[in-house]
Amino acid sequence: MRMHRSIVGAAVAVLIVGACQGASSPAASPSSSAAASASAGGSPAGSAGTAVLRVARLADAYNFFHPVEFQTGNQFQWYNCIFDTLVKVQDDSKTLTDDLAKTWDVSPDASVYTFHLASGVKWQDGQPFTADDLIYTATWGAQNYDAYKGFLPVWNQLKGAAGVLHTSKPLPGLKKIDDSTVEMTLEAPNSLFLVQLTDAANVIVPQHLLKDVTAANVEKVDFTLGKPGATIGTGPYKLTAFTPDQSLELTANPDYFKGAPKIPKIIFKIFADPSLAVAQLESGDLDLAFRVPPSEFDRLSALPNLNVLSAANPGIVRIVFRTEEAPWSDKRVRQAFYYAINRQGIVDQYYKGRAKVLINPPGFKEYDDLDKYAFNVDKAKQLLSDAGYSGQTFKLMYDQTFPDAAQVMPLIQADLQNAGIKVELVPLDTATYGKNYGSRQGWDGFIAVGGSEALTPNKSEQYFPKDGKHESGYTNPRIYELWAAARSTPDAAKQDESYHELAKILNEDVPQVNLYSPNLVMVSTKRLDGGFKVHLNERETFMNVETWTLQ
Amino acid sequence: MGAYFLRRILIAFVVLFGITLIAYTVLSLAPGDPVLARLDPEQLSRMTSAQVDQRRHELGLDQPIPIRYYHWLADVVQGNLGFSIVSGRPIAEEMGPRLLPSLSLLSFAVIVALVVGLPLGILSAVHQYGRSDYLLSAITIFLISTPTFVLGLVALYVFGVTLRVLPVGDLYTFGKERDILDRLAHLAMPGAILGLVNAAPLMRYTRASMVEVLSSDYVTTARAKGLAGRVVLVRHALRNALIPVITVLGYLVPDLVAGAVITETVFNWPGLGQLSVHAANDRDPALLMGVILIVGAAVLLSSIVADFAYSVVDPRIRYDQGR
Repeated sequence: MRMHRSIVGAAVAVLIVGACQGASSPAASPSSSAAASASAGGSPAGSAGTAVLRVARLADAYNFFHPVEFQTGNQFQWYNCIFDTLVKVQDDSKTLTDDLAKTWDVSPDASVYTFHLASGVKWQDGQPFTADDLIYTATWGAQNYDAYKGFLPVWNQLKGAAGVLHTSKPLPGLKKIDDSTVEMTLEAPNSLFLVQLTDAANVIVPQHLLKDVTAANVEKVDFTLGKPGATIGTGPYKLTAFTPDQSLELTANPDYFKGAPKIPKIIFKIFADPSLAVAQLESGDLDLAFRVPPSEFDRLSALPNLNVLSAANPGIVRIVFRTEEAPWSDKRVRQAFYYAINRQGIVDQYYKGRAKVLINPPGFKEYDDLDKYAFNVDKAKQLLSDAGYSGQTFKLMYDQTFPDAAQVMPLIQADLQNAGIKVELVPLDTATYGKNYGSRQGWDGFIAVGGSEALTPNKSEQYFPKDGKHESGYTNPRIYELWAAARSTPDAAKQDESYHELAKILNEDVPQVNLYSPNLVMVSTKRLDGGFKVHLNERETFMNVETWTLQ
Repeated sequence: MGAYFLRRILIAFVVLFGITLIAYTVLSLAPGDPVLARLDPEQLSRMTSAQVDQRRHELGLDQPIPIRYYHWLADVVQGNLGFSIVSGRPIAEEMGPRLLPSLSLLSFAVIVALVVGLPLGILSAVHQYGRSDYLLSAITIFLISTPTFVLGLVALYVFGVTLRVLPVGDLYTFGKERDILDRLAHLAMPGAILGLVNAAPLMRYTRASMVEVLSSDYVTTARAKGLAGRVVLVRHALRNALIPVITVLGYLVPDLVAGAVITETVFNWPGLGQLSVHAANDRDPALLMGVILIVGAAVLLSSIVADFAYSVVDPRIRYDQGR
């Protein structure tokens, strides 16, 4: 008996250890696989010439490379590696730098832009880049503007763009001065045109490869599908391998016009589950990660080889009301929500300070004359009784996959109930949420998360569609006049005047309660250096990737 | 016997048809709209409902369910699994590269399950109510009752992050796509987890079956004849005890496949399980139907094979008798 027992013990131990060390491969001994993972762990494997930067952005990715299919922040980062835009921005997401346009002139009224293109630029297949490629990209974009499924380019702002839609006519607002100079005339003045141009929806694509592509077949061509050798840009990295939903391999383009990139290879990994990415950050199998779960902040911060950054989020968490329906149509009721929710309390206690309370969409300044709506239950009750609120249930819809929803939503509910507002939480799966959002059924208000409003107040306009059938349904005509006025002048003081009035209107009417902006967590290995810096809008971080170094 | 299996195979086709019909109906009735599921609310706010309807029409989602199912079935019969509405690529192209990773994971897991489950089940039965039996039972219950993703994450941190003896997830190390040892090292952890989880029920069945056989008359007779203990165990008891285990093994396949969905997600293993999670998240019914069709066929096939193996090892079982 004694002997048998020890055999069982030994067998269990051997099986567990053996199985975990590769039971079927005797050669994969602990030492050899440890060596393998150590070299995978990023120690300079052999020579500096083989250094690989392994990256993950822990959000959805979409497997396409033509701007018509540009729908996710992951693609934004890939496109910035493979392609170029006319201009780029620095890490403040505002200050412009040159790209395919070496210099540019702007007319005083911000309606005519002249671009002087960089010289000696080549497509990755060796063909020269010329003004014709820019003309092709902008013209095709305007002619097929409704083919863009996700984020939209700026080409529809050029003069006469509406007239060339679904035609093969040239775009009137586009003029080729010579082989390296192009003039763009806008339909309406827009002082933000250059910043908007930096969006990856406006990458310049090769005419010689795409001239026969139509809106009908653009989804199916090799260029769009990410086939190495077919997906060609002018950017610092060439696409050398792509496995949909899994990984993207980029190799330095030695002929890049701003100089060859210093890191020879970049691998973008796509994760089904963020837990594994966090484990790989810890083990050294991942060098750079965006949008890491905030709950991992403390643990990862303690690791010596990682830089962990908790950065301001350009997006926002907000309650959007259905303003067309009583009693939520009364602005006093909506203001009562502001007073009733202890936003600072949620930020301090739940987010441990790693979030920012807001009184406006985040791109706006917090002007002194705005109501801060400090937490005040009595004031909330007073406003509700003034408005004649009689206990109607507020159905608050949210997507249960939103970060922190399970913890934060009950806090919001409790605060509102405390002020006398009856709240029913309606957690939904993403698809049903989207459906109810569209049909405006099943909610009196919903939680919206994310966006990029912090970059400029102009970005918030999209959350107030004029048709009154989306978002809050709030359609005060004055707000559209103010947004248009701000765009029509390059004078910052005049823009600020418009934005100030806008901020006051939104602050007073409360079509949405702006709760807070939770920080985003980004993690990078300390070996990553050179010009690397996480942008305010983190998806733009790869705009200067050719200057990064990896030790 | 040939007739029996021919009938079984024909019935399997009918069952498969039923599976797809039910799955298709349920998927079509499930809440959520595949068109809207793809759209960022930020984009959605810029689209008119006419544009959304246009997308729906392009994808053929505005027709009634029976017609959509008929079209789907007609295509499948012609060998065309259709297109993913999310990626726009043919379903076969989506699934093809994922078959091998899934198969390697499943085969590895089956080997681990057999190598661990059978001997330990026998040991457990031979020493019924002994300490080793209790210890093994405790381990078994631990493995059965702990969710696979917990086991997976714990193993990742212990063996991958802390001890650094095994790679942390993925199919291979980038740059070592052709290194077979690297691939095996990556396979070891997810394969072992999936195998151990399935070894546990196999061990319980083996133990139960063995205990029953060991107390049967012919084993007592064999012992009474004075045969050596090992001979009784291997030649008389084990052979008979393994017969029901074969069936269990056949029915483990659905469990293995279900476990693979979780294991593949935890370890970022690019197999069919991970694909089905993608498809479900994206509300991609065509892709999900492709996975269901393949997995359904595999499960039906495995149960036929198990029946066949059953009749081979046990001469008492002849399916044609009585006809």
